[in-house]
Amino acid sequence: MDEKTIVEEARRGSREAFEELVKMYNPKVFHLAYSFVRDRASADDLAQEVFIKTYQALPKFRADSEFGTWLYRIAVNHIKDHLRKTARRKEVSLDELGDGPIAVADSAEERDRVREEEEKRRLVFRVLGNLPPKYRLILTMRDVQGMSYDEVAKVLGVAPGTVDSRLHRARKMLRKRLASPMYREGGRA
Amino acid sequence: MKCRTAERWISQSLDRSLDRSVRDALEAHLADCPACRITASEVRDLRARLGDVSFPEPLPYFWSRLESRLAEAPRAEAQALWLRWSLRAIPASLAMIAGFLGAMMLLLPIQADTTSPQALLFSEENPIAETRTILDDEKPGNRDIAILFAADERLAGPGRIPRP
Repeated sequence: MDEKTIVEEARRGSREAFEELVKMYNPKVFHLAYSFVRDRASADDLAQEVFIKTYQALPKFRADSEFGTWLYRIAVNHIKDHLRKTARRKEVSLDELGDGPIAVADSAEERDRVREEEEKRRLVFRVLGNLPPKYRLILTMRDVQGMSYDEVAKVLGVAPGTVDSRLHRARKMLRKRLASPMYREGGRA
Repeated sequence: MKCRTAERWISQSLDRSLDRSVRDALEAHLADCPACRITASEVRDLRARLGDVSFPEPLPYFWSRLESRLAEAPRAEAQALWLRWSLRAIPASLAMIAGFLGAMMLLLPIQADTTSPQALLFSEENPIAETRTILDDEKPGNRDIAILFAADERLAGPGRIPRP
């Protein structure tokens, strides 16, 4: 069954079809939320709320846009609301960041290299998490999640030119903040 | 090309292919500018690292937890297509009626209260010229009859004085 059919069935009230959609999109929504709250339980809560909102609004969904774009717009607005409510962000230690798998190394030299790479990865993620929300959002969508340029513009409801300049400023800010710890002192990768 | 412009093009090259002329200009600038070469390398490296960020897996039993919450979530009513269109038609109809009334007001003549001289002017009548025509009549009989007709016409309402 293609996505349009699943969406139409979910729109008519099929729980099975909605479950399919949740399975398809939950990882992306969860990761988007996680990149902001940097806590699994909070990201899970946000993702649940996003899907409840989606379920409630689904009868009103018209196929003017892609379902994924529409869902992302709900997610982005919900996360923005959440950030506004919890304006005081807590600082997160490096240990809390990124529970991703660490490659197994054979030699001591290889282990050092893997450890260094892992530290850089965490550093990038930490600095990304401390950017202003609008830059964090656009970089997460485009560079982390690999969403297309047009999709980012549609989700954010801005012109492609705005995506252009916002991405440029976001990358510049991220690079500037990483400059001394990663590229100047730690050496370039 | 200024370094600032080059930096912008470097960033844009990550998202879409640049025009041939821009690409050539950027490549020429990068060949001459070591600082921008470093920038380009850092921007690409950062992009690769961001794409490589690994996220933790969502918590387990997501759907079963969500399903129990959905049971309590009220759903928006789906609107039938005709109802959506009819709701959209209301403002459009009001706008059309307002436009029609406006056009009617502009096109219809203004029924204003006018004084007798103004009415004569609007109907392009010239009472002096007509009076002179009557008085110039050489025959007193004709003159008297014309005066009587004119008086009668005037009392009866607006209209031209019949010429003898």
